[in-house]
Amino acid sequence: MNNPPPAPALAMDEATFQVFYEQTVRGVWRYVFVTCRNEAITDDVIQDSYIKFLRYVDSNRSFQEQRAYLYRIAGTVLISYMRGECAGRERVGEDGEWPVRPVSDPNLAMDVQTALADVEPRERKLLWLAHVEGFSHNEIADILGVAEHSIKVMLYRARTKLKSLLKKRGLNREVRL
Amino acid sequence: MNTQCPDEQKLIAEIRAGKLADEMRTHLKICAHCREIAEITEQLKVLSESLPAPQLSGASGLYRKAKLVGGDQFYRVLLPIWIVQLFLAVATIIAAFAGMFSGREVFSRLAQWFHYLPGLADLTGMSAFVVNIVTIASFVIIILLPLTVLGMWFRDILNEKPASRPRRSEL
Repeated sequence: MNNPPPAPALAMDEATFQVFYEQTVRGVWRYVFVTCRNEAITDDVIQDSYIKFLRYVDSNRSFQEQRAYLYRIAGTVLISYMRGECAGRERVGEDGEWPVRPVSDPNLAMDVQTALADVEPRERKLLWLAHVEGFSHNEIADILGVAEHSIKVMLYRARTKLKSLLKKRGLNREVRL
Repeated sequence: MNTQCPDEQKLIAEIRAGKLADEMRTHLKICAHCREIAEITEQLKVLSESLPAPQLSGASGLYRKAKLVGGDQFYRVLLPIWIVQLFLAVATIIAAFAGMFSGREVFSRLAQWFHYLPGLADLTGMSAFVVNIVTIASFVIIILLPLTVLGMWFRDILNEKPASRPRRSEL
């Protein structure tokens, strides 16, 4: 009792965090943005997520595990924001326009964006984590707090739904890579 | 087509990297599941590239903020408890020494209260030294112990991980 209680130390040193941040910030930002579709909320959520991440992450875990943990925190923080923000209005960012950057195929981006907006937020998260962020089913189950065996079915349904929505917009093409 | 191909993860990784190996191209010709995966992945990739870049402060700014937020929250709750604990501990030690070496019942009034408490011994007939020791021990148990437990409890709350799982509808 002779010394004041020590404040909890951050789980990473600044240099390590700097590297982790550079490697993950864009991905996790896009993930949150695609779910809530509001830039201001996304910025706040990302900031809070990294702060929570720094306090609670297990520094002995691998990069991929820490990355999955960050996405899990971001999802939880976003839900907290949604609960708070939705008290006054119907749904955060649901009617907002998505700002887009010029890309090689702006029409395709716009069509996919519109189709994805018609997919439920839960399915959007699933599709994004699997197809854009490249997480395994096991990792997605951990991030979303769902049983691993459910992910396969949920992902299949989400994919089928998105595919039919894209088909309606005349987007049904072969891979061009 | 509710199936899973062992090459699914590899395919997604290759599309994300923007380079499909010849082996994978051959596989795509025979695997309808992977063709569907490839199609969706490529379309989502185009969308992800079109999204704006995050306008956030840098990593060092966030790191400093995390330090401040954690420390501030921690000390706002725990420091007052710790100060009270320290003050009481010092006061108890001084009182204990004073009581032990004075040769008289420093806490005679306090000791008399024990007489009215059910289940406790009557201290009025005992030596001043015993009365002082018992009173100080009681003081420590009644006041310092709950404060210590309270401090530990708050510390646990502040260190708690954000483990609350979202409701299924919120996933």
